[in-house]
Amino acid sequence: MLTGSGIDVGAADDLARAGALGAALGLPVCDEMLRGLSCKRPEAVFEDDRLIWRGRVDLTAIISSIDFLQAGQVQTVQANLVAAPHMVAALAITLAPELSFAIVAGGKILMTQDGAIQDMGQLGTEGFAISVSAAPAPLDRPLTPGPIHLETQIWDKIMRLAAKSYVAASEASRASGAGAGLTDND
Amino acid sequence: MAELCKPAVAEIARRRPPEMVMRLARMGAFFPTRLSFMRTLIRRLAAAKTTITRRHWEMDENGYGRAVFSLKLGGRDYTLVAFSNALDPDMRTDRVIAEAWDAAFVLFDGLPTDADLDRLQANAPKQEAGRFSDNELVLSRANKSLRLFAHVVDALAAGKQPDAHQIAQTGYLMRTTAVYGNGKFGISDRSKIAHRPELQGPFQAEMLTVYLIRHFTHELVQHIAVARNPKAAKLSPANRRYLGIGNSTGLGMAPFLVTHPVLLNNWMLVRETALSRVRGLKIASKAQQTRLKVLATRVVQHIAQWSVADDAYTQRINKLQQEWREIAKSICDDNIAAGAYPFDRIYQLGANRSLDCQELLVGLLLEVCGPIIDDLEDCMDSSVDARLNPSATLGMVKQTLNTEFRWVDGCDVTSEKGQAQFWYESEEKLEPRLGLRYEEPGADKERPLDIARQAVQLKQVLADLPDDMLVATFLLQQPEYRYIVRRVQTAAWAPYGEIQDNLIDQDCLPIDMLRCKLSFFGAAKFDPKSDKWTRITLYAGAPLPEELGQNDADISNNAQVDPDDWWLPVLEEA
Repeated sequence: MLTGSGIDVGAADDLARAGALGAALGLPVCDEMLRGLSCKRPEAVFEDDRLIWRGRVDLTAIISSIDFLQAGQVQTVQANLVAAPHMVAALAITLAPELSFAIVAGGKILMTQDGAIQDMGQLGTEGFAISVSAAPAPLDRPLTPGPIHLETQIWDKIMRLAAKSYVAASEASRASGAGAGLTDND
Repeated sequence: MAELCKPAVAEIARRRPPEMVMRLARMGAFFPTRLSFMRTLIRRLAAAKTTITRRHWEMDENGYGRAVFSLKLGGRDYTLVAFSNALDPDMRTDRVIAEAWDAAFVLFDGLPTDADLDRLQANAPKQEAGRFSDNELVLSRANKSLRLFAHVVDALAAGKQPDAHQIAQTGYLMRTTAVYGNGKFGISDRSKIAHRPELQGPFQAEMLTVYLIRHFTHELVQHIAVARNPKAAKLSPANRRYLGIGNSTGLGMAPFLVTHPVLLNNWMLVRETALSRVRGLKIASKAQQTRLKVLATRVVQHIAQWSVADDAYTQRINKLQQEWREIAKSICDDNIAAGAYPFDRIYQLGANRSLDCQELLVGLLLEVCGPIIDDLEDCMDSSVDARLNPSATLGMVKQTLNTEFRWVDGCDVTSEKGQAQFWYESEEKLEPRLGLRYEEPGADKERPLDIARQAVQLKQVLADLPDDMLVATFLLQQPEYRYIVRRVQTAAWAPYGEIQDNLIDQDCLPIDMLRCKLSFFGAAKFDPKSDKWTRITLYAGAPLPEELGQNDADISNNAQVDPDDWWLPVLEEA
């Protein structure tokens, strides 16, 4: 079962939670999510304790990466191109809050589980790695509530994707889809 | 999870199992209990001796204008802003497609300024089409019950009380057609208030809003009556107490129980743990025995005042009426509560009786044993979501499929009948709808409420895969199963989180889902208008605002109304 974005509902649920968290943390995840939807899933190769993606890493590949890190099957995930680098952080915190990890690009640590999330805009060109530490530590990161402000352009794109999952009204649905009568004066 | 939320071993052993409780037919027979969310809120308001202040009342002689009521709770101000206007009867529909209502409401976080009131006046009556800020916690609207509203105004203006039969027949002056919270249409996200102690528990902000709306409707009829005749009668406390708020609920509410499996689990677990505790009591005190008799008798009257137009429901109510007379006789005349394990014996009276009767007995037993179960209301919230465990093996998933999900084995999910319906999101109103798969377009955009079908498919796929394969590996290869694997894994620690029926079967009745959820709110007098839509009454019998601040000594001396004694109320004058 797919969402309007073409992503399976299971992954979409994860992305929705992570997207809200990332946006609340001030990360540019909404724009990234839209970009991350549009690429093909890359080939996964396992070497020793590493998962290596051949090709541009899309959102579903990021989710799989975190699955494997969380399962302890790999210690490091490597890729050359990542479509949604900030979503890596948001998804890691959302899906595996007990995991300690580091996001590295060009030999430089850009983010750790308990550290500040830095600008990872260069990840797409400089190379990317996410690794777990030997001693996972729980994290209690408070989620900042509040409204999330989106650029109109991004909002419109999200609305267009959502609209793909809606069913247009018909006479039958108007008459009985909600199960109620048309006027109610009692 | 707090310690008190971890039931004792004996409580677990005595608990009714999910395969018994989580069936739609039984869920569709639930009644409110003292653990329902409205009851929790009223206990909280009473404990805090809350007073409600009418800050503004700008109404013309017809009752059109705006009003502001506020209260302080947990050191914070909460305010109901109400707008009332004229409405053409042709536009009065309970459906979500409506674009105008008799009244619109906002629960405001704090005390609104005049500028806030003007902004809300321009937007609240538009509801979905309005623009809101995160100062607005809840958005709602309501329509008048035309006959009763007019009758009450006429009677009061004529210097007398309204006819008791008419009050009992309808039970409310207005009925809400939507009560929106949690970020809908730009209002505040729940995360803003989730950690406030005074609003701990599910739907407390929404329940507070409805309580204040009820108070507003009482004030409104009085105002119009006095405008007509300065010597109008005052609506009596008994009538005010009995007049709740109606609510009209359609399909929009139903999927919530499916999309929140952990929350559903917690609600059910609390209810069943409470029942288990009560059934385990060895004796009933004299006070409890007396209370059982009083309540059993009250229920006879309550059912007698419950009339609906639907034929099938009328038959159910009639049967319940007959069964409950027998139950009341056992409790009142045969003094069944005087023996050992009295509450369990009373529960057993439901054997071979209808599901309605069995679940009404649950409500009765819980009602009598407040002090030993009320702490469980703190366990109904959920701070965790359903979670996937990618490090589990497929063998573990298969194990859960064969235990917590074995109910799907009895589901027909392949025939046309077994897949006759599909759930979807309406483009027109962005609300959940139910369509007929083989007669209407849109099944290609089906929403995932077909849990039984997905679980059967997962079971078939896993049968050919090795037990030691990791979930992470399986989902890398077949990501389309992520949703159902997560649900199955969640069921291993949240066993009451799944409705154990095929929700796309031709015979699935969404109204059962509605009644279940509404009973947790505390609703009564279910009045189905179809198998997808019901009217209910909220806060009937609830204490009036001036009764919240009484002192406990007066209550225990019966000098005042007990603000916690309004389970299945009856109209005193009827």
